[in-house]
Amino acid sequence: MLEIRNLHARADETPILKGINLTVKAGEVHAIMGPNGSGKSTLATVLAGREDYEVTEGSVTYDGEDLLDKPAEERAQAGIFLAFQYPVEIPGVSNSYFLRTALNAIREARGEELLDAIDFLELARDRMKLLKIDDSLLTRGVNEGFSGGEKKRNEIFQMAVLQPRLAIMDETDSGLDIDALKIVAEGVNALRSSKRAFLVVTHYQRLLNYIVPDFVHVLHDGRIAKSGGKELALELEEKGYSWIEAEVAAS
Amino acid sequence: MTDTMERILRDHEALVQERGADALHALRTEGIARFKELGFPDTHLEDWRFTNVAPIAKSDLTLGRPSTNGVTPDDVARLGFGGSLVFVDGHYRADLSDAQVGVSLASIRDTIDFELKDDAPAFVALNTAFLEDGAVVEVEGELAEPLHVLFIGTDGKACHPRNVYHVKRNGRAEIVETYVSLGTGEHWTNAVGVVLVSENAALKHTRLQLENESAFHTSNVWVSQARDSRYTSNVVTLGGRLTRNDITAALRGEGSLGTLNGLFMTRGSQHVDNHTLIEHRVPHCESHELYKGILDDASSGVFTGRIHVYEDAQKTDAFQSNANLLLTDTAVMDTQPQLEIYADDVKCSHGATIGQLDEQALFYLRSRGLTKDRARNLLIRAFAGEITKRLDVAAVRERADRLLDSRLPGNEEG
Ligand SMILES: Nc1ncnc2c1ncn2[C@@H]1O[C@H](COP(=O)(O)OP(=O)(O)O)[C@@H](O)[C@H]1O
Ligand SMILES: [Mg+2]
Repeated sequence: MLEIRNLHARADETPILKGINLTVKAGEVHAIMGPNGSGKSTLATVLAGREDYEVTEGSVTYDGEDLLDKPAEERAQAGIFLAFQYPVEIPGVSNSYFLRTALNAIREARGEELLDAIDFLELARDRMKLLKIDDSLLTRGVNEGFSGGEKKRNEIFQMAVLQPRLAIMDETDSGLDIDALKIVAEGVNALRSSKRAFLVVTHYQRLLNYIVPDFVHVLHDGRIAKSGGKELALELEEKGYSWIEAEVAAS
Repeated sequence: MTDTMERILRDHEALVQERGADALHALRTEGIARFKELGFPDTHLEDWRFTNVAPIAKSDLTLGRPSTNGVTPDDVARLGFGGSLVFVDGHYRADLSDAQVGVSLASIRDTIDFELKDDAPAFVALNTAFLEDGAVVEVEGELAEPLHVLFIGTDGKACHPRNVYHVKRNGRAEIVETYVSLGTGEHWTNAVGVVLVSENAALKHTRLQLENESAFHTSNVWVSQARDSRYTSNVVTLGGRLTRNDITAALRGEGSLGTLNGLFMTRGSQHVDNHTLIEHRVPHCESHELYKGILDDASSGVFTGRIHVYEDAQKTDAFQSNANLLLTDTAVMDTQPQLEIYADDVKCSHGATIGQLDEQALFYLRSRGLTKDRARNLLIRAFAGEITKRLDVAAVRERADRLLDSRLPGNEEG
């Protein structure tokens, strides 16, 4: 589904990604871990199509097509979703209007029928139950005045409504207490299927107790320094990131 | 002396001949003398630094007369909201109106220029020089429906309507003025509004400026609020080549609240200048002010927000905000708050911003599948919506929203 080959990207002349290689198949859950500043958000954001980052080398294909050519909206329409580390507040646009517009933009691009307000509400309510989200969230401005936890839950709620095929979650666990973390994980697990893949970016192992990954990759200085199974996350939890750095330095 | 000044003097002379020494004659004479002395304002004047009215001074416009126009009932239906007082080139048209002006300007001669006489600015003096007609509304009790006043300007004409609204003790009213053009040519509306809100009375006052993009529009609104009164002004400007709106709200009675809202969206080379002054003359009054501007193409805008808190006006609570969105690199906005606070126990806050669309928000929306244009439009509409949602007459709000929509990138029409 996703093939990342030797990806290099920079922002303002500063190289950040320095040769990422990663293959993700449908049905898989990949965790991307790594210390702060290692490039996790940059990778997630480059995949979502942010133009501030310049790709200087390498390629990314999605369903066999070049992804880097496509503007952000076409990636979303093709089924890529990024749950932001820092969701943006958009005052004056209600959450429900925003999400219906987004859903219909995606359906329109796929030649599917548009949902009217009533059908949309039915769908939204159903997904809100899944994430134990309060009804009032729909009428509030997008992320406007939301607590950190509410913002993260709103991201996963959007994901549950938009039903992406490749979901990228950037530190969705940060700022969540254990109860909220469990709810979010349940929501994500409910979406797991053989047709869908997840890229779960996280700094801590904790989330991975609830969303169990098939693969774990450790990002260090813009490269994947180590890959393994779910036990790698536990090892990192125990030993921290420094031994990876030592390994990289030694090689 | 400019040709325009000569023509204005000639027009005034002709009007005097026509009307004779009627009840307004003395005021007109004072007005023309004052305007002659002041002339058209130029950009050396502090209040006119960013707005050059030379295009008005050089324009070739003649005074609108009651007989001159080709406005039909169909035009009124198309341009207005129904339930209207209709004015064409500044003159009341009973045949086109379905509401009536109950009171003549002459009969309220003492009210119509309250406090304007001594230091009237040039365009107020000019309006006084041509005093003839305007919407005069006295409200006792509650006005059941919003009153619509439609001003239609026709090509080549200048007009000077004088509107006077008096909401009496405990009264309630909502008045919507809509300014439109019949054609696409130059014309000039130079309106003056005098608004009295008596004790415990409330007035909502909306001015919707939708004139064509060749039109000139100057306005001066003077509001006087008595004890425990409420006044809300919504000034929405989408039309006009050059627009200058002055509003002064004087809080003269304790416990009164004045709210001034404004919104403009400009394109091409349109220019909109809003000057507001809130006078806190007595203690325990509140004022809220929110003006927003959206500037496209090479258009330009000005906001000057003065708040004057008099020495006695303790416990004043004044809030002012001005936010502007530049859609291009060629649009220009000048904004300046001017606070003059002479009391010491006051709450006074203000803020002004000039910025582009938020890149983070744009990316967020696009990452959810919205095209660049749709994402932009959604953000622009949300920005404007903070004001349009305050327009509580549904037909007015919907029309403003529709016009805004029609100007968004990808939706443009004529
Ligand atoms: N837009 C940007 N401009 C300049 N430097 C950036 C930008 N975005 C990220 N960086 C830098 O790139 C590095 C990686 O950042 P990021 O991808 O946010 O890391 P992580 O998510 O792993 O904490 C950091 O050193 C950060 O300062
Ligand atoms: Mg990050």
